[in-house]
Formats: sequence, C-alpha cells, structure tokens
Amino acid sequence: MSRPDPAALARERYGRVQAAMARRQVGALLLATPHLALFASGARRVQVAGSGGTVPTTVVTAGAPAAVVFTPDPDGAPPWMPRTAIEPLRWDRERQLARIAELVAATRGAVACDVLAPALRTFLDRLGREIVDAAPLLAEAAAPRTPGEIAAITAALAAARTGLDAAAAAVRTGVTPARLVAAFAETMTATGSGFPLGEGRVWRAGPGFTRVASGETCAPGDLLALEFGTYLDGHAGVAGVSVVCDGSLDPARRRRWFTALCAIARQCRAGRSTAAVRDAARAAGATQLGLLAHGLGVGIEPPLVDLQMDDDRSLHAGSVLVLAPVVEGVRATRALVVRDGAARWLEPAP
Amino acid sequence: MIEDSAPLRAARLARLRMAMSEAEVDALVLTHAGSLRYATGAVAVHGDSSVEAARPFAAVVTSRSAYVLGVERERVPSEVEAAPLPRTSRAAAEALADLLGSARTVGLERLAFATGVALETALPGARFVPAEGVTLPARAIKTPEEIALLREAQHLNEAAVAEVLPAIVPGVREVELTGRFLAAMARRGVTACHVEPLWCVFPRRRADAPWCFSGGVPYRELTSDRTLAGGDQVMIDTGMLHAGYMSDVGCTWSCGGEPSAADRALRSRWQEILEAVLAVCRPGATAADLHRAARGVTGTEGPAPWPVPLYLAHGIGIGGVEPPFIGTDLGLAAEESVLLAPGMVLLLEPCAWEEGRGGYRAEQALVVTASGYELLSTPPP
Repeated sequence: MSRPDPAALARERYGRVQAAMARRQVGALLLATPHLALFASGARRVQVAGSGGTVPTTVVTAGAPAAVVFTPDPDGAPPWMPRTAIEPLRWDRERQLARIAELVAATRGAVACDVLAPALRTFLDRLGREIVDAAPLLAEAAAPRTPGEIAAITAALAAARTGLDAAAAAVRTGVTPARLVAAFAETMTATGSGFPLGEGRVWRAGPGFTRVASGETCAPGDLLALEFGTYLDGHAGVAGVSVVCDGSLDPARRRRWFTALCAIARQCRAGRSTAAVRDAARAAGATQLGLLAHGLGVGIEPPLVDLQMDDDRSLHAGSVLVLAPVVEGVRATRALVVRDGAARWLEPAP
Repeated sequence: MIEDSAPLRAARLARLRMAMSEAEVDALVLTHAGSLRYATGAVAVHGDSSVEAARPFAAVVTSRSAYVLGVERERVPSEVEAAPLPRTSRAAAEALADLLGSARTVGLERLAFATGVALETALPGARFVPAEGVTLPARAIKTPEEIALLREAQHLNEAAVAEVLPAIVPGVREVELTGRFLAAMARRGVTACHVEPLWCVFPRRRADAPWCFSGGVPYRELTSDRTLAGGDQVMIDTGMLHAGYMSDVGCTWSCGGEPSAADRALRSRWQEILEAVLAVCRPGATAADLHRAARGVTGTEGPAPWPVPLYLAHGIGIGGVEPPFIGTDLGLAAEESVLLAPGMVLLLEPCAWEEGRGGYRAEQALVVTASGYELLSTPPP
C-alpha cells in the first residue's frame, strides 16, 4: 500500500487552519509547541522530546499562502511552501519577537497563541490586540480528518503495532523494559518510522499498576502492560497490549476486556459526548491507566478522556480516538474513527 | 524507581535556591521535564510535545518547599510532596496558585495558554518573570556528580554509535540506522530518546541543498528513507538522556567504511578548527573567544564552519541542550559577556565543508576545569 503524501496532507490541513481562523476572526496564529506548529504549517523539524519553547516558531497570518516558520531545519518544509516563508530561527529572542510583530502588524482581528510565558505575555500585551487561546481554533481545524489523513494515521498505528508485537514477543523471564524498547526500535524503523512518540513504557499489573524500571527484570507470571508510540510521515501511532511473562493471558479476562472495549466504542459516534464514553466504561467495569481514551493525529490530541474528570465534549465525525480501557488488570489499546453511525476500527480486533 | 541520588538532588536544589535568592524570586513554576528533575528529582513522562500536553506536569519550588504535580508518585522522591495536576485549565491554575501562596515574584517557564491566563487571574498581585533567569544560572555550573553522569552518558552513546557504524554500507536506508542506534542504546539501558537521531548524507555541493540559508555550510538535518551509496558521507548526530542527562554524539562516517582522500582532508580541517577552539578554552575566556578561534581557521569572508542557524557550540546538561549557544545570531557582542567558568559543560560541533568535496562534522564534549578543560568525549571514530 502506498503511503499518503505528507506534504499534500499538510496543505489540506493548512487550508482548514485558515478556514478556522476566518470563522473566528483571528488575524494571526502564533505557535510555540512543536506538534501544533507541525500541524498548522506542515514544516517538519528534527523532533525533540519536550514541550517546546516560550517564543513562537510558527506564524500563520490570515489569507497567507503558507505559514512563516522560523527553523533550523529548512529541509523539513513541504515543497509547496514558498521559500520566503522559511526563515532561520533566531536565537536572539527580541529579534525573533520583533519579526513576529512585523508579521502580526499586517493583519487584523484577534491574535491566537498556544502558550503563555512571562516574556511572551509582555510581547502580546504590546501588540495592543485581542489575544485568544489557539486551542479551540486548532481543535476545530483538526476535524474532520480527510481520508488521506485517516490513512496516514492508520499507517502510523500499524507501524506502532508492528513494533509493539516485536516487543511483546520478546517478553520472557529476566527480560528488562530496555530490551523491549530495543526490539520495538529496530522493528519501528523497518516500517520507515524514525522517532518514538515517547519512551516505551511497561507496567506490572497488581492491585494497581506499577511502572517497571528500564533495568528491572520481569518474572514468570507477571502480567505486563506495554505501550509504545511512534511517528510515521508526520503522524503519530500508539499501541498497547497486555502480556503474561512466560504464560498466556486468561482468555476469559481478555474477553471481558474486549466486551468493555466494544461497549465504549458503541458510544464513539458523532454527537455523543465524552461523558457518555466515560459512563459506558464505568458500566462495563473498566478503569484506566493514565487516560481512558484520547485523540490521535500529528500527536496525542484532544479529546483527552479521563475517568476522573467530568467534562462533557462532543465527539466529531472524522476524529480518531484511541481507546485504552483497563479490565481486571488487562490493558490494551485500539483506535477507531468516529462516524455518524458506528465507529470504524482502524486496527484489527485482538 | 528514583534514579537520582539524595546528594545530587540536594546539591541541585541548593544551587537553584541560591539562584532564586540572587534573582529575588520568591517561587518557581517549572514545566520543562529537565527543570522539574533538576529541582525535585521527579521524572515526568518522557515524550514529544503532544505527550507532555496530554499529561502536563509542574513543579512549584519556594525557598522552603518543593511540590510536584502531575507525576506518578513512584517517580517522585519521597521527601517531595506530590499530587495530581487537575486537567482543566482553571483547576490546574488554582492548584498552582494554592501552592504559590503569597509569593509576589514568580519565575515561570511556560504554560498552556488557558492555564497561563487562569493563573494570572488567580494571582492578580503576583509578578511573573521568566524562570530562566533562575534556572539557567543555577544549571550552568555542574556538580561533580552531574559531570560524572554526563561523561557516562557520552560514553554509552559513543559505544552505541560505534556498534552501528559497520552497518553503514551501500543499500542501507538512513532510517534503518536510526533503529539500530536506538536499539543499541536501549541494550545499554538508555531508553529516553531526546533528539530524533540524525543519520544524514552530507550534500557535496551547495546546489544539492537549495533549502539552506546563506552564511553557513550546506547540510541536511532530517533522516529519511534515502538509500545510501558507497562513499556517501553520513553525518551522525544523536542525543539521548541517561539518568536525565544529555549525551550528544556526532561524527561523520564514509559509507562502506573507507574514507576517500577528500574525506580525510575534510577531517583534518575539522581537527584544525577543533584544536583552535580548544586552545582558547579556559576559565575566564569568553564565548566570543571560541567563536573567533574557529573563524580564525576558516577566515571571516567565507561561510561559518557550522550550519546556520545552528552553532559552533552549545551547553549540555539535564534534559537536553542549553546555553551558551556560540555562533548564533546573538552575535559576538553578546558572546563577549559569556565567561567560561569551571564546571561548565560545552559541546563543540564545528563542521568542515568544501564545494564538491562535501563535509565532515563531529562533536566533542568538554568540561571547563580550573586550569583549562577536560574532554568528556573520546575522539571521533
């Protein structure tokens, strides 16, 4: 199967960002968070772990043919981006902000920003414009996904699952999580994926879940939950599974986990709410480790569905959700795309 | 599960509190994983920005207390108070405000926009200042234990790179080398990938890298599916965290393992630049001295011997790269004010490149000592 062209997908996304800006009367969108900057601009950079800086590196102005990106990695800009939109990253914060001010000055309407930090706040105040949160705008631009984006996310999910399967196959008495990460990494790149979404994690199930340290060994009978993630062509894939060290998972427990998964999935329809997803999980006896469910796109995305929260957000058709229920110590993930009718699974059933 | 020794944690927190006192900052709100670990020893979820956004965390540090929010209890030292960080912006801001109490001057890193606004609202009398005014001075000088960890991190990374070099043969794809490297690191117990590993073929001609900015050498940064051919010059640059501390290893390797005469000449040129920089590396020297030493080899007329807008050198420490950045648009005037001092750790990464011949780039980490410097890296392979 041919892989979707990430540059073409980025151009479509950029159009949706512009449309969301127009609907919200936002004249300039300032982004300092790497995955959000990639989402809006399509310009890839060397990926670095962590949340990003305090000065925007991407500026989208209303009506512009492309975002202006400040980058040390000009080879990551998509081919449709004009050369003039690619500027060297400035390490001098004042110069960088002065250039951003020039770009913003040519626009009208509100200025949307993804982060707040003291020096940035001073800069934003000096603009004399209405300043708004970029998060709702970006969420609006994220859905619905195009078929091409769904295909790209599906490919990233498959890459993560392939790597996870290799890691799961390596589980045996005496193995350490570090060895499982090694198995994942080698397999991940065979699919073309070059950067893990995060450090691979392994937990031991008991009365609760305990994270297994990277050098700690696994013992016979340990019920382990594994989760690994990766990037492929600018899209994120994440996969989780439960395995028993030198044993096999009780089929009855696995069935009960699967029943809960299906009950939750039945609520994943356009117009239903995150509250309904949580209620279904509770009714099915599911708990969570971290999040019950989350969106997926160029990274982990909203909605972040947490059994401890009581927010109530509508699900949108075309958005991708990763479900991660826990039932009787069994935790695994499966991704689906929300539709008007029943959700469509993006991964095969366990 | 807590990796950092009690003396290491205590030494770092003492340095941080001294810097708080000098900067007249009452409290800190730290949201970078490296800062969090430096201040408290807590280890946050390690991942890209989307992973952190999904699982936000923070540390609140005052002169008497340190709290961690949003990190699993088992990954927070027992003497540090820990609690969940509420997921809604308002509740998260209220939790932070409660811990900040009566602090008037608060050093803040960064928050999601909505949380930041909510915190301003919750603490109308507080003055927020950049936390880097405290964290960077504290972190600039490493303790002996930090230096030992950085040295160990470098050696683990070098060993992993060395394990992968024989795989750089015609027909292999760049990205496959990434996988081999990450696996080699993991087998050495290092699983936190900080920077996407670079295994990129150098452009031999400027025309091969039309995307590059003027003023520096042509380069590629992004590892791809490209298949290597015999004689390709593969630029390697890998950054992993070992016990939270950054290892940064770079070298250039000829595909097939046999460097050409041109490759050897480029390496000699790189060595010449490196030695010129090392010759001025001592306490009291300025960052500008290092910059001028490198340019003294290549001349000021041609491109700088490093990619633009990258640098000749940068600091490394807990959680990744850090100032000083030498050779950037901050310029020589700013670099004149950066004085090298014992305990600073620098990563030198000059690059030699010639039209038609291609490039050679390698990296060397050093710690500034009382009398000069000590290399933390071994010479590149």
